[in-house]
Amino acid sequence: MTSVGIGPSAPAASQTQIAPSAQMDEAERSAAFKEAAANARRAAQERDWQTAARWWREAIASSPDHAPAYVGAGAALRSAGRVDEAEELLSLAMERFPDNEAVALGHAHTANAARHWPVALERWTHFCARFPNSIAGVRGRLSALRGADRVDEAAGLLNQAGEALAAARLRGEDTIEVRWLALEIAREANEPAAIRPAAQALIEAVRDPGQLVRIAQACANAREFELADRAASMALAVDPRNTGALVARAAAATEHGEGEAALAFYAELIALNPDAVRWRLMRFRLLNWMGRTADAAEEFASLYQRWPNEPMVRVFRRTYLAEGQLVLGQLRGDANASEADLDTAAEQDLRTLAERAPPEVQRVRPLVAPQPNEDVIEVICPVAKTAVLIFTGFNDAVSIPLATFDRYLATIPVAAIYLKDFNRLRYLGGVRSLAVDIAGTLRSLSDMVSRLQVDRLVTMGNCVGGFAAIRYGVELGADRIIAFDALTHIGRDSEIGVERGYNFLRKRLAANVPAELTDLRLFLEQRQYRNQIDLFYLADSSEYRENAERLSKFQNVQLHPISSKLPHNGLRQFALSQIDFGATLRDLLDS
Amino acid sequence: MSSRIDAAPRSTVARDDLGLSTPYIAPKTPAEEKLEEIWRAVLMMDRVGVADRYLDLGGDSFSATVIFAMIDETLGVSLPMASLGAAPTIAALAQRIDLAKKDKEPESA
Repeated sequence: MTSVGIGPSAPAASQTQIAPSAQMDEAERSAAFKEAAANARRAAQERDWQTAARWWREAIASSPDHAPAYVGAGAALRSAGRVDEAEELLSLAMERFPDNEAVALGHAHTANAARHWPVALERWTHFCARFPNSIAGVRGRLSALRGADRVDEAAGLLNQAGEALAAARLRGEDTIEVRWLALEIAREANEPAAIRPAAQALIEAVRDPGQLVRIAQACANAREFELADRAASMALAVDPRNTGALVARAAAATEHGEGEAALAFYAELIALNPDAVRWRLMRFRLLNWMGRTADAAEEFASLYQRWPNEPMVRVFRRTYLAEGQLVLGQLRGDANASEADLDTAAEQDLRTLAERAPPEVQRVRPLVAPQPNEDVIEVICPVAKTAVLIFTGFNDAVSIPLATFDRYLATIPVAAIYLKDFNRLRYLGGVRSLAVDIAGTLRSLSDMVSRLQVDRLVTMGNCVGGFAAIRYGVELGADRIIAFDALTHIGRDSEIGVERGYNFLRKRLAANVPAELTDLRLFLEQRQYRNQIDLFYLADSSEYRENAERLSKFQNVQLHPISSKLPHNGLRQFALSQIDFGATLRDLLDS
Repeated sequence: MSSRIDAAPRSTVARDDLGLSTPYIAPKTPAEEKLEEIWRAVLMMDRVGVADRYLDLGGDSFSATVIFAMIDETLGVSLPMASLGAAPTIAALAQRIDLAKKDKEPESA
């Protein structure tokens, strides 16, 4: 190694020195420059920016008349976060090479990196005027406009950039900048069909993890999850601790219904930032959705102990642990925890239902105790002539916590069996503690109902519980089936692009259960049934309406739209809409 | 209700760790400020820029449900969740909220 001027061994790496070494002749300087430049490029390839910057400085010291060395040094210094030094060096380079496009580009990029947006915009304006065909100039100006919060101008520039892109392609340009601009235009126009080829072209050319993450994000927005995952994987190969890449891979795995893979990515995110509650909540939810209910409960208890006042922890508790609230309240050592923090409309709705419940004096039996770890809860009522099987939804509730719902049911002389699907497969894998499949579960339930010695059988449920109420109700010969927001088939992925969460459940179901079992229309077509089936659904939800209307032509099926502006929780909305839900429930179960 | 969003200390995800393509842009209008507050609370982040896309921040349907309920509750505007498809940023969503509010105002004589 020839060490001259500012080299790797020099103590003051940040010093700007552009005078050539006086002791070297031309040939020596040329050789030293080539060696330093080669070392700098090698270091840059390895993303060792500090070393790259030092070698570029040595190259400049060897031969101050090579503009590419200034450009390389500027890029390395920016990447190393030494933006002030990059600015100093490239300002000198601008004086020395005023007509050099790469130097001017680096100079303008440095203002972007420093987030000096007015300066950056001025530089980009000059640059674009001087080099009007530069696609890099368009992209740099775009970034500066966005950074300066001139969002409308940025959108306008992007709208016009199509012409520049077309012209560049006509000139035969296929640089990374051209490919990036194609992706940005497609993304701005929200054109998934254009995003895919643009992203594919970029993935082949880009190695920088930050850029790969941005490609992954663009792909995920266009629902191109395989490409998103590929880009994020490549980013992680270079930078295994890249949070954005891990988030993208977790999202892709969730979208694909690949629970174990998603869990692994969340585990890495948690390891990177153990203090971020969000990844813990995501892990809890996945465990719950994967049917690992005991692990999920343990995870939630742990995070609830640590973050009892985090608003989203409270929302998760209300949503996913409706029945377990009292248990968690005891865990926290706060008797009022289950009632506390009612700071959302949903929590207020639940409180309203609890307050409206009939008084204790009207009960014909004691209330059921919360039993979050039991998937079958049998409620005996000695005078009962009717038995009701209540199939809970994904969250082990009926959109109303069972503890609240039971305060209404306990005033009606019916025997009840509360059922939960810990497998999270719409009860198509049976009820876990009863059997490993539907057939065995049906036999067990039939025996249980026989032992109750009742005249009538009713099945009811909400959402996936509604699906099960129909499926099991028909098989068991129920006199009446009452389903709220029943999902009657797997359904399609969301068209609005924000369904990552629920798509997991659909994909997992599709992967684990034969398709013919998941469609209630096929099921009813194949059955000679006489049951009365009442389908209640939220009229303003296109998803639940479509699910209900699929069964509208079948015999004995009656549709009951529920008016509510909310898109979920049909039984809850129905209960809230009734002046006396207790009386309505009695009518539904008795008649 | 709105004052409670920030009431609890939280352990957040750093926005800058996500490697977004958009620079951070702070909220300016009242609707943007409220939306930023809501998105930050629901997505459990240290800050959210008004040009950041919802999915890039790791948002999903469940978070969206909570966000739209909070928008309804705190801003008095009921928007369909599908709004996020066409308006995936705080800036775009705030425009829709302002328009919806304008539509609700009685016409002046």
